[in-house]
Amino acid sequence: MNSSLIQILLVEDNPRDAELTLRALRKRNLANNVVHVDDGQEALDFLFGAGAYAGRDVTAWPKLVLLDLKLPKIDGIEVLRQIRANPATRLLPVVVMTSSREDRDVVEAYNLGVNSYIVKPVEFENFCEAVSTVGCYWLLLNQPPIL
Amino acid sequence: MQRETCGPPPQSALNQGLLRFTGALAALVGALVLCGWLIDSNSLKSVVPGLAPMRPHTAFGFVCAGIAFWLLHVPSRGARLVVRLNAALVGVLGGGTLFNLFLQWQRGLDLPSDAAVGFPAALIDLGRMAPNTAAGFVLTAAALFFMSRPSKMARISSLALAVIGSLVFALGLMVFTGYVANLAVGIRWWSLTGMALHTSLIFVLIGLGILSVAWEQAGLRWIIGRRLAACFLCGLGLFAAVATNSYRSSQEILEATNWVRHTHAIVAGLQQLWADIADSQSAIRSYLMTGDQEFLGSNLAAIVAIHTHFDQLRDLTADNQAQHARLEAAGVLVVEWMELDRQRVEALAGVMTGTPFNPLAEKNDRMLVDQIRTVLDEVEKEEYALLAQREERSTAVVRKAFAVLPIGTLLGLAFLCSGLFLLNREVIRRQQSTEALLNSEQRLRSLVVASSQVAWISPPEGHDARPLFPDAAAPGAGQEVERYIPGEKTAIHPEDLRAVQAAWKHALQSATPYFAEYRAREADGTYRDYATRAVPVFNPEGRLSEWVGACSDITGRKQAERENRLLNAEMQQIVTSAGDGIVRLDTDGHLLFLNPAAVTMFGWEPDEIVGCAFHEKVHSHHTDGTPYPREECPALAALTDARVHRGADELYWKKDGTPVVLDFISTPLFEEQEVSGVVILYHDTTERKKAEEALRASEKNFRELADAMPQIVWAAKPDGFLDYYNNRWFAYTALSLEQTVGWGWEMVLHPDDLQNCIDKWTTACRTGTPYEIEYRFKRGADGSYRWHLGRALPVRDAEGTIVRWFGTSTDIEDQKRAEAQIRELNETLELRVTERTAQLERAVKELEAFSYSVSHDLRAPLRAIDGYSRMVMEDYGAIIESEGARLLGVIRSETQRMGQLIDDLLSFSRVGRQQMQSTTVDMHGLARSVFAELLGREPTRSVHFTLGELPPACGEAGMLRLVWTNLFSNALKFTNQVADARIEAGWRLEKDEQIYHIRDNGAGFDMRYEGKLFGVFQRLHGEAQFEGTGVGLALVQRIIHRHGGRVWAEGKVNEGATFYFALPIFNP
Repeated sequence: MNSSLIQILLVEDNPRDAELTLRALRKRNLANNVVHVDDGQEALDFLFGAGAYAGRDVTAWPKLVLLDLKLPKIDGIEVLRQIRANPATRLLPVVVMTSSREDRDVVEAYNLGVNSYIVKPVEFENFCEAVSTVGCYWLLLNQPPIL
Repeated sequence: MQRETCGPPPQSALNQGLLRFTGALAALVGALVLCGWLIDSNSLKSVVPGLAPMRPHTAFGFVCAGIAFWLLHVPSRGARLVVRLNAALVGVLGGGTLFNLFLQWQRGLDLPSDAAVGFPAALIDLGRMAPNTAAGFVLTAAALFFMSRPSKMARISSLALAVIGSLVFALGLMVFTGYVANLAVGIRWWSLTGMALHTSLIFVLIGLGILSVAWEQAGLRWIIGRRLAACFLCGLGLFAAVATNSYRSSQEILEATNWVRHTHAIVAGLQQLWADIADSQSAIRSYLMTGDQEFLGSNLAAIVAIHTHFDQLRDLTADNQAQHARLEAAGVLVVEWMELDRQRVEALAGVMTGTPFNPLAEKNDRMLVDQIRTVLDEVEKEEYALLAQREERSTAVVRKAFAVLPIGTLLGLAFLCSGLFLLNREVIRRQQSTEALLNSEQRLRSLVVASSQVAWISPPEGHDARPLFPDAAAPGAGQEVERYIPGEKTAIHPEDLRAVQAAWKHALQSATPYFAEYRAREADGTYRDYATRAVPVFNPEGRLSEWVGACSDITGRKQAERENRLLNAEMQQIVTSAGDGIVRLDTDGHLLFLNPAAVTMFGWEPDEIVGCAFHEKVHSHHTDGTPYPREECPALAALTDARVHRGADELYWKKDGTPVVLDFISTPLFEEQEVSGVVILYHDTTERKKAEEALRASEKNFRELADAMPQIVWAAKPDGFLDYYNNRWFAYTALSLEQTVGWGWEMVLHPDDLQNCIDKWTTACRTGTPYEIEYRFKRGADGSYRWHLGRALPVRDAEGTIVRWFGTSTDIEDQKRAEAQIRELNETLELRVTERTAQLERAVKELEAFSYSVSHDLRAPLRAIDGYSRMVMEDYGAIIESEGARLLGVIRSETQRMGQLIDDLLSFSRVGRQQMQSTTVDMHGLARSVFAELLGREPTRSVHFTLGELPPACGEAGMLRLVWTNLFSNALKFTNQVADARIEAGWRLEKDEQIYHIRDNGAGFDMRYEGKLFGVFQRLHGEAQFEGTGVGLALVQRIIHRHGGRVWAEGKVNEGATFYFALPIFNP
């Protein structure tokens, strides 16, 4: 996988949700350069070239990080905090996609500088619509900053 | 100097008149005489022809002097100049004449005594004025000079004028008397020219005028009484008469003597003559006989002697015509006789020629001599007869003179003595009056000193005031003129000055008494009150002569007046402000005065009742209607027995007929030991009696209450002395009042509490602060100590002074024990509460974690089920039968419902946990926007929506939005099968709630299940009929409960439902 082509980093521990997400992306032909990691630690490792991803060209940043909040090891809020804490990734577009509509999560995420907060709809059509809209928006419409 | 120019001193009108009259007369007479000289009229020149005439220059002098006298009192410079000029002319005229006379003195003396009587002599002396007239002119000129002088030399000039006037008067009078008494001695001096009669009269007048001026200048008055003057005048007149008479008698005697001598001379002459004739006769005879020539010589000598003696006789008898004639006859006979003798002698010589002796001749000769003798004898006899006649007359005059002299002298002396006596009496009287005057002045002076007033005098013009007795002032008493005259320099207070000046000016102008009261500055700068009076003093002529005033210090009186006024005002105020009624009656019982309190008391206004019989107005009858005679009225008894009367509970009647019960004190008033009225002081006892009654009742109540109370009740005096306990105290302590009164309670107090209690109680008594303490008292029954709570509060009067302390002691032993138990319980309770709270907090946390998990984890499988079902349909739809597809659809719809349920549950749970942030919520706008939003989701629906003017509420906006959302969506849901859907939202105010409602005409519900409406997951309709999770209304109830409100519903199946929620009333 050519890391320079990585468009989306999907951080999702639930394989069903991951599959549904990828399926939705795929429908829009956005799933070609998606990296899927299962937990927060792996996500951080990927981003900063550590652990299993040591030696990765860390300058090839994904265009978008789709981040679940409820993650094993390091939860999504912590991952977000570390992304924002690091100067290199401070401006990286991060969209939280989660099942939680708890206010405290929403407020916390926005406090840490999340770019968007999406509650995953239970209904599949709605879910697909949400994922594809997010993917189109951030990958095609949005002009990312030069990192 | 001013006085230098103001001319001669003013003279009285009488005097001026006299001077003018004199002047006019002198000038007139002078002018007439001058005319007389011009027309040669003797009656004008000398009045009586034959008397001495007035010379022309005398007349001129009188004209000048007359003009001067006339102008003497014309107050102008010119007149004065004329006066002086004329005086100088008159002086020069008189002085010049006298000067001339003295220079030619000898000539004057040489003139014969009667030279001036005849006209020829007078004509010679035309240029010569009589010396006494000249002297009179000199004196008149001097008098004019003095009279025209300013009055500065008044004393000298008056003296000089008196002398001059007297001289002129005497001069004129002397001449006049001379004329009247026919005495040449007064008229002529040294036998020179005499003064004319009118001259003398004018000089008398002038002399009188000058004397009057002198008199007035000397300020003299005629003070000799009429009797005294009459006596002196009579005496002087008598002496003058006697003197005149004596003078005349002497003259007579002198004349008689002359006559005797005259007669003797004639007789002697006759005898000589006769002897000469005899000598001649004998010589001739001898010759004839002898012819001796010698005898002829003797005869010649005799003839010469005869001639000589004859001539002498002729001279002597010149004044007697008869004698003269006889003498002439004798002379003729003598001549005839001598001729005969000559012829005889010649005949003898002719003897040669004739007979020498002729007897005839002899006979003739003898006859002639006899004739001569006869004539001469006649002459002699006549002389002797004349002598006898004159002697007789002389003797008569002398006799008369002798008779007049003693009588006149005696009478004159008597008059003079009487005059002297009168004079002496007058003098003594005057002396006495002078002494009296001095005494009175001394008395006045003493009076002034004693009265501590300053007496002062001032000239009529009102300036130059000075103290009357400058040395009489008491030390310290101001005599300064500034005190009493508002002059240039004044000590009068500036505020009073204007009034004082006006008063003084008015007094000066109108010559009326002056009076002023004012303040004047002392030497030390303070002001004192003064009163000054002054009266004008008039001289006998009625002219203002001076002001006499007195100035007295009236500070004391003024002060007293002020204080009195103040006191009066205060008394008035006291009487007016007195709460008790005060009335003043006269001796007849008529009301003279009543104060405002009395007006209130009786209801009569002063103008209605003052002057009326007071008793009859307010005290006329008893309660039962029987009359109350005045004689029985105890208040009026003071008028008759002059004693103070007191009475209580006396019934009086007000104006409106209502009774009023009053206490009174009736005090008689005295004037000169007589009762002059009565003052009655009324005290309205109605209120006091009510208060006393109330106090008694209240006291009784208090005691009953106090005894009924389960607590110990006590009362103390302000100093802390306890003087009352209720029965509870005695029951508790088993002590008597005598044992515990005052500080006796100490004996039942727990010793440990004693000091603290005493400290607190004394502090409370001292500071007046409420007293509170807990202490233990020994119970009399078993000797145990029980805790009591002692409390006391001070009772204060209107002024805030403590009058009493009221206290209670409450048995708190049981309470204390209970408190201890409660305290114990509380301590364990708190522990338990802490535990429970911790548990609860844990539970809440767990619940939150649960909710969190649910929201995350429960949805994920649902999404997977739905997603995978969909994936199956998408990927394998072609090979699945229709029944399979339906089943997959059911799976999907159920998962979606599951998702909805989870969302609702989470929402419900969140509402319970969420922090509320209350703000003002616009309920009207909220309801409208929610409804519009909900209806917008169902565009096909047509609903008749009515929204009332909902009031705002206080609450969490998001939650309230959920309320409206749920209720409206419910209403929409349950009306979706009604053709004419109607939804109405409104509100009403009820008590302290604002109640909102949402009414619909939908499916409604059975009121039997109303209780289940708001339960979670409770549904009254089947899922197929109306979808829903059964959480919405539970959520609504939870939200409204959290806002402190309530929620309920009314409904009927198929007739719609109404949901109410009430929130606390909100007033933004």
